[in-house]
This record gives sequence, C-alpha cells and structure tokens, in this order.
Amino acid sequence: MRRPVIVKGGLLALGLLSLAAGPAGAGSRTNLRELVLGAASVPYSGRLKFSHWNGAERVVEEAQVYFDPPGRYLEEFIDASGKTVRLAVSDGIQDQVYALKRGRLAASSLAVSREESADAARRWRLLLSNYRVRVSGSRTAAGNRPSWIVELRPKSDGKPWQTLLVDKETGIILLNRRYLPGTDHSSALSFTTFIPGGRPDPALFQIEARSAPPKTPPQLQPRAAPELVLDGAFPPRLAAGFVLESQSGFQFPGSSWVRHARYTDGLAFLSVFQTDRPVAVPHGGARGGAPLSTATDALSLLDFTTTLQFTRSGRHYLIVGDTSPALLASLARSIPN
Amino acid sequence: MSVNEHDVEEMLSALIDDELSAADRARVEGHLRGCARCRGELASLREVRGRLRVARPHTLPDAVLDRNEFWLAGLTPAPARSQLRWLAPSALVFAAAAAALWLRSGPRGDAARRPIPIEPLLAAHFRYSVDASAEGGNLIAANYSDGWAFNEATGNR
Repeated sequence: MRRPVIVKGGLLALGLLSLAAGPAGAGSRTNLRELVLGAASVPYSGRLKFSHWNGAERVVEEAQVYFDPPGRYLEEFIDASGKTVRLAVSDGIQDQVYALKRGRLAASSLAVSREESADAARRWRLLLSNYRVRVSGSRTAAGNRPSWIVELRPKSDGKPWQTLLVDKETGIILLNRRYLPGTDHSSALSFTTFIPGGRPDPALFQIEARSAPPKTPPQLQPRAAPELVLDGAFPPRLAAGFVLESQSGFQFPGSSWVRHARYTDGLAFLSVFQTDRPVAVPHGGARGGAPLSTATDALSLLDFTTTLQFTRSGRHYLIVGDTSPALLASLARSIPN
Repeated sequence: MSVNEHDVEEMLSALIDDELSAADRARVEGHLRGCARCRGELASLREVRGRLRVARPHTLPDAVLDRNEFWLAGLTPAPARSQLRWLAPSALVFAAAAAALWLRSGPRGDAARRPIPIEPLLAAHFRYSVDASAEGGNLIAANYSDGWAFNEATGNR
C-alpha cells in the first residue's frame, strides 16, 4: 500500500519528496513539483474531451491533439458531427487559434500563455502556500494508462478544487477536473485516447499552408502611451493569497485606457479591470472562454467565470475569475481606495 | 490502490461516471458498505449530477464574423453583481477577432457614453490578445499580457 504524500504550505521541502516508488519510465516525474507543473517532454497524440457543466447546461468538446516537444502542438477541435471547427497551434513561441468557417480558415487570434511557465519555481511556491497538494493513490486513465491521482485543495473557501490524473510513464496530465464545491460549476479535461511516442509530421503544424490565409486583425503598431500609468494602479496582493502577475492596458474609442491586472494564487487566475465607464455584463450571459494550451499548460483549466463589478473613488472595477461570488466580494474589499 | 475514508472522493466520482475498473469498483463498494460518511458523500454527488441535465452545445451563428459589433446587441449596463452563464469554448476566438474589427471602425458619436463591452476584457482574461489598430494606422488598443507594446515604452511595467 502506498500512503498519500501530503505537502503543506509550510513544508516546502516536502515538495521534493521522491515518488521513486513508481515506475521509472524515461519521462517519469521524480518529485511532486514536476508531477504537477512539469512540461511534457515526449511527443504524443491523442483525443481530448473537454466537459463543462454549469447548472443544467453541459458543453462537451473534443479535440485531436498532436504534441512535439518542447512546445509545438496542434489541437483540432471537432464538433458533434466530426467537423473540425477550430484549430489551436503553437510553434513553441506563439500560440495561434484559428476559427474555421465552412472548412476554411476564417479568423485567427493570437493567444499568450507563456508567462507563468517562465517562473515555475515561483508558481510552485505560491501554489503550495495556497493549496494542499497530495498524491492520494493511483488508478488508470485514458484507457489503461497507470496514473497518479493528485489532489489540489485550496486553503481558502470559495476556490475551485482540482484533481489530476498524471500518467506515470510520461508525466502528462491525462485528466484534470476542476469544480467549485457547493455549486453546479465543474469542468474536466481528459484524454480518451493517449498515444505517446512517434514524432508527428511537421506539416501538420503548417496551418496556413492548408488554406487561404484568414482575415486577421491588423498588425500591432506599438507607440508610447504616456497616459497609461500602471504604477500603483493595482495592489501587489489581494485577499486569499492572490498576487499580481502582470498588468497591461488597452483602449476603446472614446474611452480612456482600460487597465488590466492579472492575479494568480499559483493555480487559479483572476483579472481586475479598471475602467472609466461601466462594463456591459450581459444579463443573458456572455460566452467565450476555452481551455488554452492544454499541451503546454494542462494544469490551468480556465473555465466557468464569475464577475463582480463595483465603483471605487470614481473608477469602475470589474473582477473576473472562477471563484465564488463571496470570495470575489472579499477580493474587491482588498482593493484600496 | 488502497481505499480509506479520506481518499475515496476521486473514486466516488469515478464510480458515478462508471470509470472504475472492476477491481477498483469492488473495493469502493466494499468500503461503502462499512462507511456511512462515504455513502452520504456518494448520495450528495449523485444528487448534484442528477441536476446536471445535458443541454445542447452552444454554437455561434455563421453571420457572427460578418458583424462588427455583435457583442453589443442586447447588452445593458451591468448589475452590481453578475454571474456569467456558461462560456462556449469557441466564442473567444471570434470575440478577439471581432474586438479588432470593432476597434478598427473607429470612434462613434456616442461611444463615450456606451458601456464598455465585456468580450475583449474576457479575451484578455483568457489570454487571447486584444490588439488592433484604427483606420490610418493609429493604435488604439494595446497588446494584452506581455505588455511589450506599451509598458516598455512608458517604463510603467
């Protein structure tokens, strides 16, 4: 019998606890940090299923995924009829998402997903200070792949719980389930088939060679923006262990800058927007959002979204995250006047 | 693997999903026979799952790409607290592209009085870029996240 490995925030050294009792394949993880945050290091292909529950609604998507380390991947999202409707591709530096319309590339959007992976040690420390991480056992996933069960439980109320099944041989996350206790919100990413080894054909990743180039947004033309003042615009820390990760800004016609701060507690992410006008949050619900870069950051499962809008010192704020409304209110209170 | 009362949560969920091997299923069921707490947990999980009816997947109309301000339709100023309904996974791709198109169209007469649309903000939250330039090449929207477009220039990072 293998006893659970429990890591608590004050015991960082335990993060290096060996899992050497497990099988030692070429890509196997040797400590808990690698198990949770380690990047994929072996090529693979497989079929991913994304399931999202929100109350009575359930949305399921499937994607065929090809990964070529260190960072190149292709995800072909497939609708219920088997038609490819969206492509997410990365050359290891930039992530690009293409929408398909009647089989042709119709639109594209650049996606940025690299920032937290740049400092995995810092993220790990932050994660351990905000979550209890434990390997609670093993089971099979993606058919018959022996996998570790890794549980991440928040130390603060109102944050989602997360459970991973990590392939023992390759360290790939084969299942990632995230849910907010006490609610009907849940999401899961899981491999239904997983085939490690065998480098994919490089031509697979040449998306724009398949079809006429899509309509793309105009190229960014950077210019100085002295009116964008970010220093001091957002506090370095919020309640419940969230720390400032990055900040930036953008502008709308007739508006001053929208300032955007992104916070993380090592696992969850939330955004705080500061604007000069209210943000139109539709009563019927906004739509969007997707698991992003599942091949390179499978741990982050951005999904169900809660918002809280408030005004302070004449400025409008919108907080976006996947925590409980009560926690968002607590976070709002930690933003100073 | 072993089963004890502290470690069955994942297996209970897997039991409901019928994802356990025969051996694991037998072990969990054996544990449940002697553990009232886990039986209660299982009943609670089943109750939640029972409320999760399968709904049709969200789809976006084909015309969405041909409209510059699709997200403005039907939007009203936000209440003090709102909880977004489910987010269809494909929509942010369209939102980011449409954000650019909307921004390209330039200022409108009453733009300053309009609420700010949420979709570009969600695109930023979900790590999609929110970048575009206005007619004539004047930049009115900055790159999201890595901040190179503006923050380096202003030293405000």
